[in-house]
Amino acid sequence: MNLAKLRTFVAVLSYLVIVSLATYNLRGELFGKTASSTPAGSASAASTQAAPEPATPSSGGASELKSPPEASSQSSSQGEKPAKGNPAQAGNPGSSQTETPKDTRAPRSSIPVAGNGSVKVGERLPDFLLTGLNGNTLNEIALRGHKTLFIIVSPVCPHCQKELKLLHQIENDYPSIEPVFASVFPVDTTKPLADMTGEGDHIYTGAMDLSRDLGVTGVPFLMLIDEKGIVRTIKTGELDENTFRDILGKFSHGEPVAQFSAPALPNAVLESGSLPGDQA
Amino acid sequence: MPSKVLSILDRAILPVRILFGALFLYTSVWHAIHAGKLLQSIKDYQIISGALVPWSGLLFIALEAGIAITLIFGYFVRQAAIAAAALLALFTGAMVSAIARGLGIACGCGLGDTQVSWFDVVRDVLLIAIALLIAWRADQEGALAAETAEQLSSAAK
Repeated sequence: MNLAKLRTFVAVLSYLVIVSLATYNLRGELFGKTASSTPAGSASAASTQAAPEPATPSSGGASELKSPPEASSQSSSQGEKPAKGNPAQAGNPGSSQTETPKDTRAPRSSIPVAGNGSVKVGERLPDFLLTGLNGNTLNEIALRGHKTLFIIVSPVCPHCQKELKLLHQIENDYPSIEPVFASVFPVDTTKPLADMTGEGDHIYTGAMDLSRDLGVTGVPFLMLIDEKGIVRTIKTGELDENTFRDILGKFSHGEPVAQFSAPALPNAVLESGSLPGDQA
Repeated sequence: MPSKVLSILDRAILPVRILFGALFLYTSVWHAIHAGKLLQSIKDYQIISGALVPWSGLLFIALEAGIAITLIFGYFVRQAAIAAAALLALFTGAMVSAIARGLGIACGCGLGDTQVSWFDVVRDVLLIAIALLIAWRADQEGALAAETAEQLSSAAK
């Protein structure tokens, strides 16, 4: 083999090695395998979640969010949450992972970060990683640059089912708002909710740790998040069409949106920091 | 431009080309190893979404690796340099777009996970200039490299 052939052989081999390595590391995303098949350290690997127990539906428009006993022993329990203001550590849903996928990406900012069992208007969500039903992932940074209607739901909660069906009918009237429905259940248990509501493209799973981070005790738990990723409104419980149209219309036009929790909701999560124009 | 300057430039292009190729080789290997981070970066830019993300990630890595190998080994130098400039222009446009939209995201370049800034844009513009310089002098530099190789070969004999 002469030198020219050897050079060509080494060049082609080097190229194939790099592309093969990339294909191997991306195989989960490329060919739709489960996140657990991706190598440790990749972003999607952190989506591995402990399966939570079902939330118990309750009357009054909101369902109580139960904490599964096995999950409470994880390092992500509220008492062991990292301090606020550290988006790199707060609220990492992949609590079994040793590497935080976004630990170096979150920019330094003076905006307070929610966590430690609470979320308030004016705060940013802690770092999280949710997995969509089609294998795509969503993190806190992906919320920036557009307005987001973020609702934490449970697929077995009738109020959530009803609310998602309603939103499926009206969400196209507010194209500037991106809906995100974060299920506290894993993919298998959440799929029926997508079939039922037609919201498969907007439903993500693995939100149990995030809901604990935020101190969510009832679902549906709604947050309106602005382009900078800052929570502008928090509401708990099922809302009717008029209320949705009112808040989404105002939010899409940049107007202050009322901050309230529907009355007669036994599990309402009431937050302080009302915005001007409250209509509770 | 005086021929003496061009002659010096042509002699300087060879190490520049190899270093430029090595830079692409490093980023392609880094992206191949940290493919999950690359995909997250692509998503963070909010330009490509859904099922296109992993395929575009693989395409970027394949292009980077292809450019790197061809530049280092001296195959299709002009085409590879133009492809490198085009790819860098694409990345530069994405970074400008991210800065304009106020996205506080990481560059995702494989050269440090710093928040994307105008520094990255300037760096990429400089790299585009180098790529275009390599493309411009590809023929002359190739001829010079062949001549040097021939001289070395005959000296060895």
